[in-house]
Amino acid sequence: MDDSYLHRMDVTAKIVCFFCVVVMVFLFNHPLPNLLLAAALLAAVLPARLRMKSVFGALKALIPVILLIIAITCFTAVPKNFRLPSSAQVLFTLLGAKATLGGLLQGLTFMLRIFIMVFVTSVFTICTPVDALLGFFNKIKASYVLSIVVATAISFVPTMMQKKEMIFQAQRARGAGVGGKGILGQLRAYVPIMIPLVTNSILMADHLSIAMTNRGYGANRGWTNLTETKMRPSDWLVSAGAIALTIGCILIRFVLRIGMI
Amino acid sequence: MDAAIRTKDLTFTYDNAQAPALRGVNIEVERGSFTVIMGRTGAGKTTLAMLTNGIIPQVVEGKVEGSVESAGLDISRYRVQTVAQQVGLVLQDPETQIFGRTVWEDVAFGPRNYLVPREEILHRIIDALAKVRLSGYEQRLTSELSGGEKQRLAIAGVLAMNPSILVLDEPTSELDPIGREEIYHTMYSLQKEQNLTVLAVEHSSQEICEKADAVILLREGEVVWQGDPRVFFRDLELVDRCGVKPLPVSIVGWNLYKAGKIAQSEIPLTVEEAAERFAPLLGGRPLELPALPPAPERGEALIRLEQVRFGYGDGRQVLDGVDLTIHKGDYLALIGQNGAGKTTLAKLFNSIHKPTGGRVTVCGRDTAGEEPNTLAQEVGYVFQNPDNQIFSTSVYKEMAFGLKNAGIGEEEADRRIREVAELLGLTGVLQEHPFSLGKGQRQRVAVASILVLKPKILVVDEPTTGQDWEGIQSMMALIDQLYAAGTTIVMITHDMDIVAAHANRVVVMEHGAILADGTPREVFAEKEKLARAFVARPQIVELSERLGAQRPALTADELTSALLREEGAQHG
Repeated sequence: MDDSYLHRMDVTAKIVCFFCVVVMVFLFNHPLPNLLLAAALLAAVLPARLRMKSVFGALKALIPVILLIIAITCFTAVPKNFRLPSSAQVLFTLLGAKATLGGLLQGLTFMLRIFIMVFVTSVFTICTPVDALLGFFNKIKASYVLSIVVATAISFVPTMMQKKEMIFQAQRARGAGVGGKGILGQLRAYVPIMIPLVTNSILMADHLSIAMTNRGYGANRGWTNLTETKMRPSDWLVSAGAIALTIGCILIRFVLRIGMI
Repeated sequence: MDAAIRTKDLTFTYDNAQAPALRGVNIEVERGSFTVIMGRTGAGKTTLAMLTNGIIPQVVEGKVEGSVESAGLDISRYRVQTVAQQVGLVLQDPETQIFGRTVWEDVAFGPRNYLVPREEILHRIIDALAKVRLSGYEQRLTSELSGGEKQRLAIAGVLAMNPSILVLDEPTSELDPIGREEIYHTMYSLQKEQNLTVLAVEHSSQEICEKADAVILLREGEVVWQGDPRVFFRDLELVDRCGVKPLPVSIVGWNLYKAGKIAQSEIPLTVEEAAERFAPLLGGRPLELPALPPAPERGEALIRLEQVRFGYGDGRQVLDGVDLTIHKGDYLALIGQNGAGKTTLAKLFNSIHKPTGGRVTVCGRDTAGEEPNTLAQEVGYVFQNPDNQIFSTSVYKEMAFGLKNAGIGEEEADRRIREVAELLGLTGVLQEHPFSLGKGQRQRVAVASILVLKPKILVVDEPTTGQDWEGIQSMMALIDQLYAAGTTIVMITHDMDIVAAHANRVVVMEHGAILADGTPREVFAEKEKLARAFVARPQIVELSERLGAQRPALTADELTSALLREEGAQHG
């Protein structure tokens, strides 16, 4: 599905929503509000039936790292910073170190923050054409250099993926192992892939700067804008809703002082 | 003469270089002409091309003496961006000059920088794409274009800036014959119909002879010859001195000229000319070629493919029921146009790809249970681009990589590295950094790093692509040498002259299936099938057929001696 309501949403509205989510996710350090936010996001995005298999795959891969983070925060969270007395409750003791409830909750918050950020960023990139993003840059009068950097970088992603695959095959043909033992071994197994990839990228960057000048880059202080972005009533509505929600959350957090560990 | 590009005593030295890349170059490219620059790798061709719009010395720095005037602009007095509106330069690698995600976005890049109004740009996109025959491609993703399409898009991107001069640096060197034909067709029609001045750097000889108005020969940074390509290609001593590949029929002509049978001006350059000129030597009789020795017994089967199918995860079916057995002693050329499935097929041999149907056995082992590293000592695979694998700080370490992976002891490894280095002429550079070597040498390092594993079968993917004539010859001499030492060779190539001169078996692929399989003589006689697979037959094969031979000749020497024998018999 390349034409969902999220695809059709105006880029400005999407960026507004994106920033609202970013604000909200860092507002509360209790996992409960963040869990609500995650559920709301899922409810808003899932009906669009985006192709998100790879995103969930990436999230799954993060699980070991996240478990490690939770384990560390359990023990290292400082009770002095807890607002709720219950947070200081000690769950268990390991080798003299105390695991607090507050620490566990903080770890869960970190997890949710990571998940939400990865999720919204992916959704944004999946359903926003580069042209639309460039159009937005132009609208906010960002430097056209920024536009070109973004556009070029994005168009080079498939090229670099192909390059990586070619290098990978070439090294495997010379018997490069299927990965080493332990973290160090795995890192070492990446050296034969990374070095050619980096040398190739440097060469490419060099060629790229020649090729861009060759096509007139830098002839003027700007470039012709080709895509016009236009907010529809629904886009205004969504943006207003997101902003209202964010303001509401700020009030809850700072006036009612709810949502903290 | 009305010159579009004119250089005067042009000498250029790159920063950090010892010697100048160009010395005292004086050229004049006539307005509206199709001129080609030729010469060895490192002769200064790219340097000269980049000097025509000021990329050198403004982006790539160095010291310029003398002057360059393009479209009436002295390039030392204008920015590249200004000259580029007049002189469109298409650089060598299309990959790094396509910036857009979609085709239209990429074509728009140039005019956008000049603040051309939106409507005008949309017009120019349609116009430029039509000129390179990519109409209707506007919304296509650039990453999904074929090599030939990318090359034509790179040209369109430059054309959208409305230049009056088009300079192209090796626009066809990475393409298959069809892709090349398309680019030539494009350049030719731009020159003829749009009145553009076209200046191209090129290696391949055949098309140039037919299409170019003038050639400029560079050698070690100096112009050694300029003029009519038809005169140039008739002087084989000069052609050789410039490191350019001679036309196969001209070699026959040159031999006959040396034998006093024809005048130098009669040396043919096309098959038609050759048939016309040589027929009288035969006195109306068909050409007789000596009988062939019986084919040697086939060796044991090394690789066996049974009803092999292969498809990618996204549903693309690449191979469709391939049966093929490769025997010890095969020098097999795998040919067919890009996308026919040649590389995919070859990657099944060492289990980089596993068949999605059917069975592949290598030396009796089913590849379903093998990985490239477990097969590395049976099948060596040399990839096209050496820079995709070189990562060590010395040639020695680079060669040791595979040996270490295979768990071969240090002493044995050292012995093998020295042995292979000796064979490939790398002994003197074992301690050098691979990237300090030239491309041809780096390719040898890549081959060496495979050979140390002593594979029984060596797969080489387009070993001569992008190399000059000398590089091609030295690479082929090396492969011949390995073959003579008992290695079975599988070579993917588009160069039919190489196939004719080196291979003993040819497999033609089309749409993921094998279309023909046999000796070069058998396969090259299959005119219709080759046409279907878009394979152009070698000039010598065509010529021997035109002269009425019962079987095709494969090399210029074979044809020459047959012609001389006939001619002698006629007079004797």
